[in-house]
Amino acid sequence: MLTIKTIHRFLIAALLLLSATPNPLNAAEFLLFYANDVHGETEACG
Amino acid sequence: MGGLSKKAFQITTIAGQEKLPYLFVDSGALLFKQNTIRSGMQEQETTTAKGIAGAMQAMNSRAVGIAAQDLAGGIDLLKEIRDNQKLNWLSMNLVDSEKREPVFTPFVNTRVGSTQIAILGLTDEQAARKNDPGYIILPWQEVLPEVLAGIDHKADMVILLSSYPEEVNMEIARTLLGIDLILESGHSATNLPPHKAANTMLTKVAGRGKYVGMMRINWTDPGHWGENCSDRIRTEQNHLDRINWQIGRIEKRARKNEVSTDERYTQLLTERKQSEQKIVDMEKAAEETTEEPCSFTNRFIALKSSMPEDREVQAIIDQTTLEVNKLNRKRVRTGSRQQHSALSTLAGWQQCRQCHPKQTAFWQTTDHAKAWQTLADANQQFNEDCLLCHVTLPYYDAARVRSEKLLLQLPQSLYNVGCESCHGPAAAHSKQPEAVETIFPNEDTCKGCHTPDHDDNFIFADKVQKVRCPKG
Repeated sequence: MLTIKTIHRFLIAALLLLSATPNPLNAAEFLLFYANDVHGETEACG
Repeated sequence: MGGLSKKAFQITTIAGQEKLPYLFVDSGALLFKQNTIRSGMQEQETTTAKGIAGAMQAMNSRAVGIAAQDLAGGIDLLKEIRDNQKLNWLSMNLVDSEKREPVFTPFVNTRVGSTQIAILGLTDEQAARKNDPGYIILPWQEVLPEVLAGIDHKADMVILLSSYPEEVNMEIARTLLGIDLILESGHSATNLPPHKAANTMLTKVAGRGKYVGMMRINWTDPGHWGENCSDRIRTEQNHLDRINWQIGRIEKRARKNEVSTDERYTQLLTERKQSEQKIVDMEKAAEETTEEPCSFTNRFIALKSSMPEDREVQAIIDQTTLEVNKLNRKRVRTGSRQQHSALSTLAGWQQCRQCHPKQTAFWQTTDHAKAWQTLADANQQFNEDCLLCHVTLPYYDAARVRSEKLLLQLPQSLYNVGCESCHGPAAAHSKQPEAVETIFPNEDTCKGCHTPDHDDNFIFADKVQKVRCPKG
């Protein structure tokens, strides 16, 4: 039977899970990877 | 080309760790090393270009600018790559000479997270090839203002991929509003960290594909680049850590009396002092300021040979390498059969062994004796760019060796970095050993091939111990 105690525990667990994930509100943040003059030997030989 | 798979691995790993959406673009100078394809290398360079394009597509590159080097194979090649490898070329001012319409897409709109980004492409007019009349390149003044007006307010951020030189990009930044970031292409000896002109940030990665730039952008206040950021202190601290690591490595490996005369060591000490002072100044400024935190951080990720590779991209590169190796093998087999007179000045290590058995026996235990095989193991044994430093030649001037086609005529006895690579041509010495001396090599002899580009771990005092022949 679903008691208030069970619901309470479920809510706490959900809040803890949410706090562990990245803040979805800061969606304006992103990574930009950029390159130029790619063609070349990048392997070291020595 | 070998660095692409490492670049791909770094991008996907970092994006996964940061748990952020990402965008990968290239501002151009992607396909070829120079503005024209080398004589006799059309097939090899075109095959390599297509392989690079395929790898970029596998890396989810969103857009690629067009620079002079990319036009070396002609417009039709770019069109073929666009259609087959689905590479998204951008240029608003490379237009059909008759219709005056862009040959490729002028710009693309893309969404990264919640940020709507417009990416524009601009090609330097200097890139125009006189022998390819199908297109012309219009001056940026004729095209860019109109394109910017067309996307005004429709994008949160505008990024321009430009193959113009820095001074022109600075002029663009100061003249036109609405461009937030200019990514420059073309050769550069060093990375150019983001710097501001008017309200536009400009940046560039060092040449030859040895770095990938990464900006972490927080675009909550579109159109505004902040001035201060505590992350800059962290970036400078990372830079200082790298300097200290290099200093420690030199001190550990070099003899004490050599450290003080090592030019690189002295330079590093100066850089360390400057970096430490910079951190002190920034910390002081951070305590005193009340301005908003800046909206980006930037770093240049150096690609090292020890880094892991992305399997899918590496498979594309391996396949391309195989194809190019086949073409190069055919070139060597059909190359000149008449040996150039310069090669007759070489004796070959087997001849040296007649009088120096102890030294040649030692040489056979060194990596120099396996230099050719390491290329063969990587399917690069017919790659003239690599071969130059993996065989025995009378000189190592790349342009001269190439013009004299020495690498196409090389007998097997001159494979590997033999005695004469260090001691000079010895055919005359082998006939008259008392009358004709050989060269005693020094650090400069080694650095002809052990350049930073090809050996990022070369310390002469350390490495010479491994190849110095025994006396007697």
